[in-house]
Amino acid sequence: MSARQDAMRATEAQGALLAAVGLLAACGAVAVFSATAPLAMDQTVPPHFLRHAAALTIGGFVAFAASRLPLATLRTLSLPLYALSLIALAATLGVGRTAGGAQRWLAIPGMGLSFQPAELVKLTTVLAVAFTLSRKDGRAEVTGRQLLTALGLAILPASLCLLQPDLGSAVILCVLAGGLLFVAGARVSHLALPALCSVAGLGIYVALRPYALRRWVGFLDPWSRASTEGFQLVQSFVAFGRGGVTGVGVGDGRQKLFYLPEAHNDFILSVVAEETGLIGVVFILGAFAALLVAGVRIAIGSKDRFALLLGTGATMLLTLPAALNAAVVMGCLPTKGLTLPFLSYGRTSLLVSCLAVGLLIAVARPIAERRRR
Amino acid sequence: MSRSDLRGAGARLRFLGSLLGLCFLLLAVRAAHLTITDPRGAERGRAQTGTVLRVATARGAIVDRLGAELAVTMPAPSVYAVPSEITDLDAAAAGLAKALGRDASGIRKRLTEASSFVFVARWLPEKEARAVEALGLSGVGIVAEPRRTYPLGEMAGRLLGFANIDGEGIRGIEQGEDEWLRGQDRRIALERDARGRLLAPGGVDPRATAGGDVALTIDSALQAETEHALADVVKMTGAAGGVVVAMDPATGDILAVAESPVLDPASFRTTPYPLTGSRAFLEADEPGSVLKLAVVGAALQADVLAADELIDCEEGSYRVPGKTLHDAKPHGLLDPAGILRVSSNIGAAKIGERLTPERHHAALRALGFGAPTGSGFPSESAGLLRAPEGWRPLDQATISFGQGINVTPVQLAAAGVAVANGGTWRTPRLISARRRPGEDWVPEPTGATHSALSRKVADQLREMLVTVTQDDGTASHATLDNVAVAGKTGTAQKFDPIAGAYSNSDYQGWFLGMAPAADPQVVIVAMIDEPRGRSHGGGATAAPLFARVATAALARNAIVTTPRHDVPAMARVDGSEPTRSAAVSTAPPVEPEPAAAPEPAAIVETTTPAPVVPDRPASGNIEVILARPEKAPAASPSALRPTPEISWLGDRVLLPDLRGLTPKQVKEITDTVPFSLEIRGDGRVVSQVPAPGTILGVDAPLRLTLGGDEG
Repeated sequence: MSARQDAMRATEAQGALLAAVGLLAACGAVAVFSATAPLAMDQTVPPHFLRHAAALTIGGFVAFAASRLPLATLRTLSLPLYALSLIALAATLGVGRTAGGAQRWLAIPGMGLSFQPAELVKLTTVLAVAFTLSRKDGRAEVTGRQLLTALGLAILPASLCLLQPDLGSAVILCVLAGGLLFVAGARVSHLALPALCSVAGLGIYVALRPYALRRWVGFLDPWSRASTEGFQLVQSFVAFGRGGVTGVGVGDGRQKLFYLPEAHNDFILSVVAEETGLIGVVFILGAFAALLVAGVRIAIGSKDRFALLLGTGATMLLTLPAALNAAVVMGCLPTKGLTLPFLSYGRTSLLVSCLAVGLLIAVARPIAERRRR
Repeated sequence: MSRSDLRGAGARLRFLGSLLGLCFLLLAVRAAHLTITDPRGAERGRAQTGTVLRVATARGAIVDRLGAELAVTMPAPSVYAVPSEITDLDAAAAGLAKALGRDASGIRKRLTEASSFVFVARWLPEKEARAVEALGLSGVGIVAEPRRTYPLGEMAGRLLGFANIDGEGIRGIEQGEDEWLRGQDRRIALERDARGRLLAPGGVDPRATAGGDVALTIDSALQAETEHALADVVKMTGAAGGVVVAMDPATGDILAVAESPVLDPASFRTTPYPLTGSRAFLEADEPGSVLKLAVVGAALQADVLAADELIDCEEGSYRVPGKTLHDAKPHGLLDPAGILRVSSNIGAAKIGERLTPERHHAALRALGFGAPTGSGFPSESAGLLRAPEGWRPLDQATISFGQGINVTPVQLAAAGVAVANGGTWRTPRLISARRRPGEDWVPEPTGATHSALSRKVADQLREMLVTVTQDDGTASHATLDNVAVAGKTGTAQKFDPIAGAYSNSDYQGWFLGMAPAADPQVVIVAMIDEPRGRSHGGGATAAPLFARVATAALARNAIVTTPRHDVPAMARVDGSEPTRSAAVSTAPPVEPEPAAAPEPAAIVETTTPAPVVPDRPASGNIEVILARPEKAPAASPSALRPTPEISWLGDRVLLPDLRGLTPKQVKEITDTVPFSLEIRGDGRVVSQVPAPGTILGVDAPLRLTLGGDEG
């Protein structure tokens, strides 16, 4: 494989990535506008949409800035960034703002804004784990120490997330770490025990938390509990059912009119389903699949282990929550509180997603630019 | 960092990516299932957002046969409040109290109710609503609610009935035509959001679903005149009440239904429901001697009686099994016309004896007694006519002269129609036309008819009934100038349910009449309930009432006449002399007028006016030719007419009889109502165009011809 071919592939993958992200961001803007219009009272433009659009614009700059960072710098910064974000996450437990029964927000002093450190921690954990697993002396295996370090880097923030409580982020963190370990070459047998422990821990956690248990019950049989535990899920099904193949038309959805809780947030895909039907849902899933393919190709095309793992992590960070969110919305997984990247309203999530895109381009850029040299 | 190491990682990454890609594929399949093959979501969606809104419709109008509005629905402003949105409670309560002229504490209590919507005051005058609007209070608003109004007030109130506060007709025409007037509530499929708010698709125009209008057969002008005459006679005779029904014998149209006491439909909430009915349709009484015409007709029809045969009236005392019958005065031999003229009970009973009970009963049924007439008035009474199997000889005798049989005024009028039009019984008609919103009027078909009498018998009977209004007949007070009247009086003792016997003090005076006798244009039943004058008979009370109403009714057909008599002094409670009008004063009530009484038994041919007048005069511009201008009322100076009262019907005026008035009196009236007056000649008014009783708008042309008496 020549360097020239590599460069072409990287350029193509970069283009595909940006196209997929652009489409998702555009769809997201429309979906947020439609879903939050009923909340806008008598305003013509929903304030939620304006905030979302502002975050998207800033996200563009953030992505661009991140994409210009040399990989070596990122490598150097990975552990300090991880530490900083972990402190912020820990701070939410002390001084965080509570909303929706969970203490997830940290106010930015003097700006009247707040952000969710958990979102950022996912990215810094990817950086830190990629850094840990890339410090290697020629062997194609993951050492026991590396394994434990990587697990520890994930379990620490995951535990803090569980305390908020934010089960979704905890699960994502563990899966990300597991995925990176797998790609880095860790033996499956080595990963089996931590995986089992995680599943067992999850079971105990759900059993001990009444609200988590309710979600579980609502997930198992939503229709017979359509007005209690299964309410949100059934309302999501209603959105899909009403949407049919072609949807009721953008803006014409009924479910966002307070039938569907969190319509603009975790259940934005239901709004898309109702208004644009199966076609819209498949389009969104397809865009994420394209993003996945582009991300994987960027990672594979990279020339060093850190870049590959970073690309892997960033790709997973963008697509794994998407798959989990879609699975939740369609009743394939219990409700967790995960957002759909680029589509859900949520500025921290959007900015972190943009940052992840920037990092993916930072991985691809050196390869793509090699042909010009 | 070796290349092979990266290749291994790449392979693992491909595997991982493929796994995730498969997830997306499975999710797409799941999405297809939810959107296409699982019907539960869409079903539940329809169930939870779909709602059916019932849009109350604007109730249709009731108009008379010429289109004058009798009952309409108008938007009336109501003040409502949304308590939670009221910022300054005290100021709001004080402001509303001032604007509405009500007690502030009561309003304050309303404004503090734990409700999202309260009415502060409903159906307000426009002025008060504007005053509230001017306050500009937050949380207080004005909404227009439909309100039923009756522009002519009490006029025809018992006939019209009323609709309750929910807009449901519960009496009279309002009840009988409720379905038509109300229209059908429009059911509009709408959606609601999860907070119950309606997602209105662009608003709904309630007019699009409004109920239909109905036009009655009533002629407002005649109705007004009839009510006026009835009220007058009831007052004069000190009676408890009365009923007048006027019908057109050619069509069965009910032209006027006057009742006393009157009912203002707007007062339905303060009047006990049982007192709101229409006696003309709902209450059956014994008609007394009026019913003798039925037994004579039945016997003629059965060919058991000849028009010229003589019947021995037994000198006033006749024994039937169970009782001895008496006449008011003893009579010897009388022909059937004579029996009707003097109203001989014995004669009527002896004619009845000639019929089998079955035949007698069948004849009464054929004339419409014993069953509701089918006029369409709700809950119409069938009257009381017992099955012939149970009739004893005494029963048949009393039924022959109108006891032991109860009839409603409308039943009696319908029977009169059959006599008047050559024997055809016609279903009394109340509705002349209907229209749906935005469409044209569709005439209502006339009701069922059947032959009750042969033409020959009907004509014979009418000839006999003309003799009743002769000077020696019981109905001499029913006579009209130049127009022959056929009719029959009746005086019924009211049955006292407490004593279980006929009362010796409470009577009902009846008269069934038609004019002109040769070709009746109108059939009128008049009943005066419990008159208190010395003379309480139908001839002294109901007959002069008939004459007044007939005068107004015939004017519709351009037949100009005047009553020859007023209610006689002996029938009046104050004993005053009848001095109602100059016209009447020219025909002294006690003196027979030889010139106007040609052959006793012959029907007086009327001087029918030459021009043919359309059925429905559109406005007051029809010139009425006086039958005999030279005989027109020329009042004597001693009988100066009082200036007539002006009756307003909404923004229009019931034109009074101006004849006999002085120019000064005319000016008094035209000062009140700005007619565009055209006067010809000098002296007093001898003719007027349009005719009295015409309903005119202000500024309508009014032409008066003055002359005759110069002084």
